[in-house]
Amino acid sequence: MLDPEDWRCPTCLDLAYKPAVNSACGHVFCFWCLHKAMSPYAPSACPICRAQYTNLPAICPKLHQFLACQFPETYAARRQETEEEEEEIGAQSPEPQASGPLPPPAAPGQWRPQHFLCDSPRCGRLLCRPAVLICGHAVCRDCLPGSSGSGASSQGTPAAATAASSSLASSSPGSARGAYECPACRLAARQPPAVCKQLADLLGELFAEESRRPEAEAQAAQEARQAEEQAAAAASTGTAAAQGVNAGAAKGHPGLALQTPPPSASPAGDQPEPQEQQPEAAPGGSSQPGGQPPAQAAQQSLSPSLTSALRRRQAEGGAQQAMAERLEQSLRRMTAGEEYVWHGVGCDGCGQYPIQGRRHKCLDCPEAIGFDLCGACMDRGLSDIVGRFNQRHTPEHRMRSVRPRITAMHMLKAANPELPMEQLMWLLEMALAPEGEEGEEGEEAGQQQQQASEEQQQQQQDGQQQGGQQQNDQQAGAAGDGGGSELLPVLRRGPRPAYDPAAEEPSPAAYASHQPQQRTGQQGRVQGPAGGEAEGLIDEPAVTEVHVALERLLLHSGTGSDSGPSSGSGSDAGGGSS
Amino acid sequence: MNTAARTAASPAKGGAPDASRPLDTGAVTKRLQQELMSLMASSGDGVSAFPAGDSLFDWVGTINGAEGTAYEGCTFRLSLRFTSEYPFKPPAVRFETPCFHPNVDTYGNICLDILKDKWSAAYSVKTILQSIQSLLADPNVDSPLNAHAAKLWAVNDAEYRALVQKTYAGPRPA
Repeated sequence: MLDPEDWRCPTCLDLAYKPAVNSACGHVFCFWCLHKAMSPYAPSACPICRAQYTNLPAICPKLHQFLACQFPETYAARRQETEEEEEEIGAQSPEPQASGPLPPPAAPGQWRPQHFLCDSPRCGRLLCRPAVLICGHAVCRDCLPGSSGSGASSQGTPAAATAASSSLASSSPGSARGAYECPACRLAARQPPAVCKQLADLLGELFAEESRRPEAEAQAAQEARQAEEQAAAAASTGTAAAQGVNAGAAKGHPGLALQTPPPSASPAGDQPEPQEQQPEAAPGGSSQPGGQPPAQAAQQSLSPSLTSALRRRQAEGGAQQAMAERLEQSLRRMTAGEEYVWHGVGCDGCGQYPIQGRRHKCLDCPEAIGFDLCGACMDRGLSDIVGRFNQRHTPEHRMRSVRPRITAMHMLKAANPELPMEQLMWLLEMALAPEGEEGEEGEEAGQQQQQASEEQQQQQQDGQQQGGQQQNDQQAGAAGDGGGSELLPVLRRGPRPAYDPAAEEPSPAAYASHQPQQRTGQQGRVQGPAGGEAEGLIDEPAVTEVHVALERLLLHSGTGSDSGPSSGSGSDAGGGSS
Repeated sequence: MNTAARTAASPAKGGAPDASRPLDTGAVTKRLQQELMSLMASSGDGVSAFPAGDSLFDWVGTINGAEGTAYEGCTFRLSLRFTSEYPFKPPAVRFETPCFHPNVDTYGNICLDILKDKWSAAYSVKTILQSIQSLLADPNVDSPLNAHAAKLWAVNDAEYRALVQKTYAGPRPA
């Protein structure tokens, strides 16, 4: 593991710079690479193993120190490259804190076990089966409260053992989340962290002697624990675990987060037991300035014009009615409570990306990337932390909760709740692709299809003439230049994570400009994109057009899947949408 | 953090970058160069690829039909077009050589999940071409782009083979 080849980031194929570990599976990437691989719409999949992860990457200081000292020249070159890139995009990656009691070694290869100690204050020994958590801390997998059983007690740490038994004893879904709390900074993950195999292999190679004994111990402990877990699993119906990460995040137990002390509290002296005792704490009791009761922040009725559009569709009967009813139902569910997804917005506390449920935004952070917290982090008082992108946030900054708004992507998701977001994106690209692509799909009767695409083209040209300064139109022009085979760049930019300055949700203007007028029945209403649309919000003036355009799209996909071959996204998209 | 807010306010974006020219070309170019090097180092396997012209963003790939399949002896040319978002977005891949296959349409478009929603940033040109190579041998007849091929695949091997060769040899059927 002392070969730089072993530390190549699998996505940029270069030496991993500011290594971040996907805590869901333990794979190592560059900070930016892991971030760029994320979807702003839904839980992301590890590029290597597709393990779901929902947290913005956090740099692992130990690996950072190791790579910086082991491969100084390459790492310095990577630093320069990355800093140039950061300059260009106007965002920063955080600078990892020094880790461990020892300064980095003077020369490559002079590593001591003190460089790789477990970050848990209860352990502090050489890492054994290391897991890198969502905060970047590296701990022995057995030092995590939820995972330890006999393993921790054999190390003579009664506190950890108590924590383990108390979390094992309670079977509520909320306490399962608490189990993955970082022992060093108390940041709680929503899913179990995995052992980082690369780090484990490195330690095994560097300190074969020292790591052999605890590994044998851990092995025995693990076997014992597996038996225990099987028994526990049989006992409980496995509500939390079975529902998966998503559901856990969506349900969100805001009350639970309140009980966790802020990271400034001394981790050595805390008692895990009280966490289980007050699950009924009022979620609205935030003492943060600007913190609003979540019920108020999260509830929002659909805009009047959207409602009226839905009503009109419902009145028409038939397929239109069914679709409108389904849309309304899903939209209402999405906007009420904790299910709303903030596309492209991540929590700077726990790193949840995209934020689900409440969102609090800092009004004073000067950085362009902004500073946001999810409801749980706001409640637990994490508003004084440094952002995931090096924002200089201070506790004096004012935090304001943000009202959820329905965007075009939400509409699409509401109409196809069973389809994953990536497939929706491809569906969109297909349906809005220039004429050449669409003609091949054969989804509808040829004549209608042709008519539609002609209208689309016309619309596109209109758009170009209308507003040269409009970004969407520029993109449309670029697509035209690139030939018919190019998919719309407007849409391709859609699911791009924060790294890309051009990443925005496809604005309604994009839909409006591709919408065939004749089918809407309200020809008079072609209007230039209003101000609010730049942010991708569906608001008063644009709403009917967007709605109709989307509906056309959805009808397309509905019929397409039944009637034979659909191109592109293939069986999954076609089968699911019917 | 907020992608949209940052984007709106970001001075870096104010210059309205040329849409056809990638933003962080450096990183993409570097990765493509890495791939090119490793492809040249490990030739064989029945797949190869090389940039089509001066631009690193357009490649031409070739796939040899696997032995023992209907595509044995055929060499297919494919085009791969990368975007500035590679490897976080898949390249647009299509057959340039006519190919009779359930998951390839008459325009050369390929229906393969890893080129769409199952794409992962860890895939490379080589893995794409290898995936298409194995798709040739093992089509997914449940989501056909070419319904005729899908029907024949299951029932009439001889005719299927004949059509593969005919499509490969001649101009695309009307």
